[in-house]
Amino acid sequence: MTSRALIVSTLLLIPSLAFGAWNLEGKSKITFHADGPAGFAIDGSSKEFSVSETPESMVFSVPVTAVTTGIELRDEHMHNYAEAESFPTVTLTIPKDQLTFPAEGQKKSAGIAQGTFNMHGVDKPAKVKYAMKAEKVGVSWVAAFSFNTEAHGIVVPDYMGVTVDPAMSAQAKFTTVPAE
Amino acid sequence: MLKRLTALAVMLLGLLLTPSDAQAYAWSVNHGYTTCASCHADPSGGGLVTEYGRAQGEIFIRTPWEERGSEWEPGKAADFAFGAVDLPEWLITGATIRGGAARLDTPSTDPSVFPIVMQADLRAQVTVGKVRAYGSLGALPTGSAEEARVLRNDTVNLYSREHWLGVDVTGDLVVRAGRMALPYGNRILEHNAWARTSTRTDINADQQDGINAHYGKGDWRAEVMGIAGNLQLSPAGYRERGYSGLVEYSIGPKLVVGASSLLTVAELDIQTLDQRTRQAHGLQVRSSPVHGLAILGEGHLLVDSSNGSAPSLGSTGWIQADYEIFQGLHVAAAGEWLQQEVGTSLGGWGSATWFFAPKTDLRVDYIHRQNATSSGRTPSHMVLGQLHFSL
Amino acid sequence: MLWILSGAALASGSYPGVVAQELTVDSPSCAVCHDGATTFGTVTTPFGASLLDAGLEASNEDSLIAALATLESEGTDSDGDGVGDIDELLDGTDPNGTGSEVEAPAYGCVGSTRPGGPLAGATLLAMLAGVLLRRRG
Repeated sequence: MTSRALIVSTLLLIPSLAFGAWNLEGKSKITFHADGPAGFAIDGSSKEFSVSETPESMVFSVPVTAVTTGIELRDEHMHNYAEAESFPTVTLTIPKDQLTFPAEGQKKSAGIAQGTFNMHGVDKPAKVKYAMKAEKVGVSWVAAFSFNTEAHGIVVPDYMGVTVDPAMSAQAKFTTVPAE
Repeated sequence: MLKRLTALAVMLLGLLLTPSDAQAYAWSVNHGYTTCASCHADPSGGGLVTEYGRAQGEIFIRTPWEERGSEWEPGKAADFAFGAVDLPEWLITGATIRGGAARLDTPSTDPSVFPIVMQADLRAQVTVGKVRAYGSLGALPTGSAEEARVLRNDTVNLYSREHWLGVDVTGDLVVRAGRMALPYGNRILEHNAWARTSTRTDINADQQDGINAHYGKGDWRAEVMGIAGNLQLSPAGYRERGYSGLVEYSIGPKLVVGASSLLTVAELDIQTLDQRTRQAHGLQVRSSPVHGLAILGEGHLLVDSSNGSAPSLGSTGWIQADYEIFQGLHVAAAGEWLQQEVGTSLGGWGSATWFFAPKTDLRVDYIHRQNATSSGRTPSHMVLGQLHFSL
Repeated sequence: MLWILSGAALASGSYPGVVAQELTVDSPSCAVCHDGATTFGTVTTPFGASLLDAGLEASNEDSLIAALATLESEGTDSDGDGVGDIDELLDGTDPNGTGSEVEAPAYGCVGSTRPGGPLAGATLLAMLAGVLLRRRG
């Protein structure tokens, strides 16, 4: 299927994709996972998340300071490492031609999309594994990708001898509906 | 006869409530800590706390009385001896004292209150490259932590619960040799819970010598130990040989499930004076289904045989709900059982712990047990208060 | 803190240790009083029963000391093998008669500072303490 055909089918299914804004419906779940030594893990989440659209791409954004891990001081350190004041938002941009929406008559679709992850002001390619499901109104998404904070110019976090592996992963579950 | 049994059982309870190795807070799963290696020198938790672990004690364990702005850091309160001694990077050390009083009450004995010294330990770990040397040394009243004793004479009773040499083969794999706690079940602070005493896996004095490998990576953690016996126990025929191990998987940031297995053989069991094979196999879980609440549970099958006779089966288990009312103040309720040939004993615990100051906590427990005897169940009640301070 | 440490001498959850201290022997095995696992309802050995008959009470070290003295003065021989219970404990044999040939278990070094073996941990800690003190100096 060509990208043109993809876009056409998408437009048929979800009229709002004609460059309109998307609204999020229900609870979105945006999480990240990082590993440390000997099974030590940090799991964080964000309560803030937005989806927007350009003529070519879908853009998913999370404010850095909205990402928390359950321990305030650790959040503070994390935001400092990410230099949240200078780089307040992380974004994942996926060209629409990389996404396969559920075709007409189909409920589900899935694939791997090549996107761009921007964090700390640095763009890096991101391979995003995703699955979509057509709802009565809108589409529910599950997506995941890996990233490396060091590649984005963030120094490896080290707190009192405990370091965090810069290779991390992110997951997202959300539902988008056409904006009014 | 029943009075005799009860009286001696009370003695036993007293023994079980003697020293406790502390700082094994399995409820930390409530704060997203599904593993222990970052906070403890022992990768399965308990004992000496790392510099990072000390900081966490200030960050999320004790009640914060001060304003904690964006620039707040744990500071000297988290340091060894409150920063009075500047430790080199290759050394972590700590001292801890835990003491208190208990009151016992049974149908056939008058309630009695007695003081208990549970801990007076100095612990340290030296790291040179990938090699670590860990040791603990304590002084306790005679008769306490017998299994860990290294020296007793007329004036002193010294004991060492743990001493081992370890190699960090990789960041994920640690191999140790020496005396250490057995990897089995949840490493809970309530060392006299039946799930610990009946499997001989408590962190008070049930450590054994052997070779241990701990692997932790991502969501998986596994630990296995070849047991050579408690080398502080002689003659050698009393020592248990075998293995103990566990494997755990973090299903999410606040849910860990695992399985444990143990088998030991002793030529002359310390309790039965028979040739004895003990087995325990079970499952454990640590979870935090809602913020502030931690659930710790485990259940084990016990298989016991003496002198080659047909094995007898039993079981034991523990389930505890710990709720953090506000940071530093925990209340907990627990239930336990121990099923043996004589019958099934049941127990219930109510506990409150307040980490009210740096490195200091106050704990009160009420323990009610229905102890199985050949003539039915006999109740016992215990109230235990303890103050714990570490440096 | 002092009251905690001073409480050590009063601790009553340490009956094996009291026996050890009173008789200057190793702490006796659990099996001296317990028949089977050291859990409730297993104190059925002849020696345990003799102690109870001699006035042993729970959590009362004085009663244990008195009961031991009674057994000694009365020459109680719970297993009827011709050797009194206290003498058997002093000799390191079993006052229940089930294993007189069995050497009693012992933990650590008793009454000496034998080098090596179990003292390795203590030595390590002493070395570390030395390092700390030197740094402070």
